[in-house]
Amino acid sequence: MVTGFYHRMSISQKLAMWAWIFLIPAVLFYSIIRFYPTFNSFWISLTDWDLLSEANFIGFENYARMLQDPVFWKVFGNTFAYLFLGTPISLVIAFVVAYYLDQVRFMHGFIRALYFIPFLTTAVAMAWVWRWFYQPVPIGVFNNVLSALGMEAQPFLRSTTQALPAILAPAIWAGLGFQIVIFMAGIRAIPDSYYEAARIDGAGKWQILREITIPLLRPTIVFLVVISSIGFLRIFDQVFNMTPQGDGGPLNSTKPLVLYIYETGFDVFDMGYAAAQTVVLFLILLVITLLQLRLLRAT
Amino acid sequence: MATVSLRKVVKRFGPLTVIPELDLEIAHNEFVVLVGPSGCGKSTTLRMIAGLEDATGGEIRIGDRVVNNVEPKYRNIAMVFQNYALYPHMTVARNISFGLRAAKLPKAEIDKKVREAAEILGLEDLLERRPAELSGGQRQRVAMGRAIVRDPQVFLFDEPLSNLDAKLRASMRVEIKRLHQKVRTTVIYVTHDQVEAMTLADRIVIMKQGVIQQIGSPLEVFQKPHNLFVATFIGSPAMNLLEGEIVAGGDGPALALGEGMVVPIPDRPGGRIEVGQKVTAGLRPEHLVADLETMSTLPDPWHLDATVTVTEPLGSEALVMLSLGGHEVTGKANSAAMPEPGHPMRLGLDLRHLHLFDPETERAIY
Repeated sequence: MVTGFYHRMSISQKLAMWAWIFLIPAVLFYSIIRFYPTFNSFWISLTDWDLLSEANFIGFENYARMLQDPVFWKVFGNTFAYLFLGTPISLVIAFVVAYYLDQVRFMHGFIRALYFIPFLTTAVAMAWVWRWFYQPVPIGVFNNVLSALGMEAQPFLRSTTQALPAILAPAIWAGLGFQIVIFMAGIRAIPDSYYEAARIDGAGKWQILREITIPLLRPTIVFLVVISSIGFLRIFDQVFNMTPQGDGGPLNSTKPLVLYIYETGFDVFDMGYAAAQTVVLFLILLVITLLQLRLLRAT
Repeated sequence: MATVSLRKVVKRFGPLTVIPELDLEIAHNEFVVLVGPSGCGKSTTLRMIAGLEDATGGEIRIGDRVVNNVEPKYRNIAMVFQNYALYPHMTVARNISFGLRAAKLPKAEIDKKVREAAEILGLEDLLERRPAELSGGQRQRVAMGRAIVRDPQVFLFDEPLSNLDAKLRASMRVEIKRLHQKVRTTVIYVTHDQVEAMTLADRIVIMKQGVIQQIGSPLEVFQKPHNLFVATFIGSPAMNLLEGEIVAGGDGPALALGEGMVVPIPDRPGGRIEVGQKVTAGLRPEHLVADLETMSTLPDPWHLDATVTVTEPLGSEALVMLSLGGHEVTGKANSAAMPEPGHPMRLGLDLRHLHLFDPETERAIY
């Protein structure tokens, strides 16, 4: 009976049936674990839910509160500071390293592995090591070097102006290995004959870089900008582990949106407000990603 | 416009010797084709002339200048690549003007040169397109445009037509020839296709394993191959080769081809054959004829009996695979009078075009 039914199906129907059978686990997973909570948070953001008592619908009150909240705006600014500093700096460094590493034959694999190791290392462990690096003399490596050079010791993580870049540095460093590997793959994918033709045509190194390498790397660059932008917008581990009490201090100077959401939700248990912030973060990520995908398609 | 000369040029890649020692003189405005099977060193030779590979030894001159240590861009050459090397993100106009922009020419002059090149190649309407929007033949023309705007002393072509289909290849061949007539410049052209070599070249250089086998005009290498390799490489379908022996005939030496088949060898000055010598005889398919009219012009002893095994009608004529005294040979026949496979066939051998090779040295001896 069942086999008869199966045999009566056309080949494309059978293919579709099997495709769906194999897709079901992933579809279920995404629906229950990802899509449902995502949509639910939109609802929670319109309530005053505090994890214990019943959630009451309060309209856009959480969003109105956000506009009035100076900490939210501080955090909002910090998040974009991570993004606008982190993405370009890390991409430029990664490109320069990949560009020259591609030309290095000596111990190529070993050097590439060295660059990749931070990407494989736990962010927490790295954050703590870097936290020590930033300590005052005699513990902190950086201040030891500065004092050995006869320069003034720097407060680093204790300063409201230096703390954010100090936290950004290991975050950039951690992502570098991945970006370098992707850049090298992109550089390798450009046919040699383009460079040979350019050499014969008399193009200089700079013209080749500007007119051939970088334009042809455009898909790679857009991909890395998207990935690293999302990474910097969601920065959390480094800040949580490198600031005292994990509070994004001093004076909220390093606190990113994700950390603020975490505090609002799980320290203050103000789930409605936390959800509203999450929705804002979601929208920012969405806009940036769509914008960048559009740029990619423009090629 | 320049001569190109390679003197005792050697190329090694690590322990691998690609070119043991190569000498080649190319005249002003000459169209020279380097031809040979893949891996024969023809592309490497071209790339050494271009400066994309260093010569391990020897001397390369363009004009009066030794260029071994001269950067490609200072050699005053232009090169067309097999994959065209067109930059996908640039318009046709920008692709063509790439070298001129590199040379920092004034914009007005660049525009003028691009327009001129586009006119020569019929690309006027395509200047604002990108390579992806062009057909294979158009891309090929853009690649040539990029080469001609630079007004080089020497044009280098590296298998430029091998990515095109057969029909387009034939028409691009004509176009390259026309281009050479219009822009008189020295051309060095690499291909593995002997038809391209024959149709384009003033002189053909046939290479095998990094060694030049023969240099000559297309007709010379076709009619007087120096060795077995050249004989079989040039010409399509390939020359028939038959193992045989020189025997004493009625008047003068004769060629015994086995199974009692003996044909006289016509007198020819410069032949170095002795009775008793083993030889490899070569005869092109067009000289194995089956139509009665041509056969009647050949003397009687040049007629032999063969058996048809396979026929390949080509339209105007037909190729006939025959069994001739135990040898498999290819001949040409009139397609109207096509014999059936398995049938006997009377065949005329045009022995005026017979080639004899020493089976050991593979050199031509007659």
